[in-house]
Amino acid sequence: MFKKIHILLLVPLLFLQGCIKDEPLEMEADIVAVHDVEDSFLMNPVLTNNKVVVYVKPGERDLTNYQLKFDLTKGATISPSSESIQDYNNDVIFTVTSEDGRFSKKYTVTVIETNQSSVPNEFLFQDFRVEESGIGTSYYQFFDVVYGQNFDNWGSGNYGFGFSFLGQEVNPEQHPTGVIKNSITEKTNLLLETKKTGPWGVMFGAKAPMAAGNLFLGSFNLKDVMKPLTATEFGRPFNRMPVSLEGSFNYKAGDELVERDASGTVLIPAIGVDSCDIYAVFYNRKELVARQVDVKNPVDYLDGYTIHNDESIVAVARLNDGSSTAGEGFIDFKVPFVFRKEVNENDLYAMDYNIAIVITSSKYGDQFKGAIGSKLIVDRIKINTK
Amino acid sequence: MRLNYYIMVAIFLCISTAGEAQQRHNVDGAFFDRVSYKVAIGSKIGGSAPLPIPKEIRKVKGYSPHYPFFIGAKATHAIDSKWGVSLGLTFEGKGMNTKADVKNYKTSFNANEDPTANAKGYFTGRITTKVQNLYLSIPIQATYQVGERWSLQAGPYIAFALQKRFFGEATDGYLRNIEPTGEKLNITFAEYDFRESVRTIDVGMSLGTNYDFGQRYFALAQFDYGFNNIMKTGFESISFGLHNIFLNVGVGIKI
Repeated sequence: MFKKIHILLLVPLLFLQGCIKDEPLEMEADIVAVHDVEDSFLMNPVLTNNKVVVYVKPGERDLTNYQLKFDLTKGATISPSSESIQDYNNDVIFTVTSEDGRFSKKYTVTVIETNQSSVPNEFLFQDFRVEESGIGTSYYQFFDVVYGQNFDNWGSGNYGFGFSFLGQEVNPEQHPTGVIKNSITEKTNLLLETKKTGPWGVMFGAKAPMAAGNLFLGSFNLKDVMKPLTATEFGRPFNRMPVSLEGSFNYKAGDELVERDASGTVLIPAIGVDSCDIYAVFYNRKELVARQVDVKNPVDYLDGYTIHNDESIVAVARLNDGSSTAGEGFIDFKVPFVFRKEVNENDLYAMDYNIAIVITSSKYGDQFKGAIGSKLIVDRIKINTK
Repeated sequence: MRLNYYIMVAIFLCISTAGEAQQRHNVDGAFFDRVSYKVAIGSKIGGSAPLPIPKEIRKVKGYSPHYPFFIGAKATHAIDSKWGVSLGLTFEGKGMNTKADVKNYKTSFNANEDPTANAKGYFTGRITTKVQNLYLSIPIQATYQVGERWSLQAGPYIAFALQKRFFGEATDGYLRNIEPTGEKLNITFAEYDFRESVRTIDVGMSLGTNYDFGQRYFALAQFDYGFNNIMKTGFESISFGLHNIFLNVGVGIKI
């Protein structure tokens, strides 16, 4: 009897299935992957919705006569064509058009040939621009200038914070990672502030009712709103032996420490006082990739889940005391890199190692614990190398 | 509890109509001499579906009806030996559970806490939908006696929703912000609840047939099609109209 009922239920299902129209033409127009015609990429290309950044090994290719191969959304076309010879000493703009022809998107493709690391030793946070997110928000994006070339070395959670206010305009000053003018030196300083997120911070299964101000060497790529810790892709190639980490900062913890509750969507009072955190992690990127033998697309970065405990970590330098500082002035700190492993010097010179610097206004911001209004102002950070 | 209450009301209405029917049947010569009464009960299959199925729906992965029942009473006034007109009252469920894979499904979401934060875009992934609506329907139908046993009925109905539920999940997919070329936001699990946007009134058309067996009993089959979108005007989260489309099968008794 029940079997018969099931068969009866199948009839409309088959009927519905029969009514399904032919697959419509694709509307998306993405560059989904970038390949080198020969294998001279230093690390996986950084791919966002409108940008491609490719790092190539030094001296192997002539960038004035260079070809890149692009994988696109099914049926999409690209102009100029994939594998066309371009002068990649300057940025090249490509336009991708969807299969149905209705939608198109411009990509800026940057090729960086580094015989030196794109990461300098000292950071003064004077180089930043206002970035349009593509979701109605704009925020400060920090970069470094090395030998006259701009490098987007720094990532922050600003994009994710803006996403939590989806549908609203959010200006750069409203984001957790920004700048502040120093009234004494007339210079700008890095300003990180722990803030409450917008309504979407706790929608779509996201459980991020707050966001610590943060800045790190690496990229922010919001892959899954339910796993925000995978969005922070920490690290950039580095070819010098780090010895110590130093810098100057001012920190004022917010009044009331809060954390997210068991539901993950509501902030409740917590016991304790907020503190900031500044640390650097030096890790073996080659070893990290080599370990993922069974993985189709191995990652070549550490993320929020692995930054403190991955096997590829070689050395760590971390601020001892991140509690509030006295007065309005900066205090200096200097901490050594504590090595867990030997460094292979040949691999180091070949840039097989990455360095990540992470700066945050709430030490446990990754666990969504901190004080709303905690402010960390950083004047400078320096990696001392051998 | 509410549901039980509605069922009680419906049964009471059926019984009282039937009771009244028997009293009036015996009145001589007047209008009611030519009125006959029926009650019927049965099951149904169908759903709140877009018609035709839009191209955004790529695959229907699952379907089951919800509240697949109706119970109703009908009074028919015979105009001549073939034609008649009937007025009825039906308590019925119109619901379904579906699971479908969609591609570039244009939608918008409102954040609960802040109705001004309205996200729009194109969702690709899986959508499960649960519709659990209960209606009190009033059909007005023309009836036509085809043969000794067969009769046909056709006419409009107006239905009032007593319970409105429309909810589900969007899973295993992503939302492209504003346009298909917009920022890609992965969504592994998101719940939605559109009960506030379900219309209270549903107007449609029925087409059915009765087959008499025995003196008083009959079997019936009736197709109902709702003209209006079951969602309110201005509801943008689903870019196509959803119509109540059901096939009812049941048995009844003439009183």
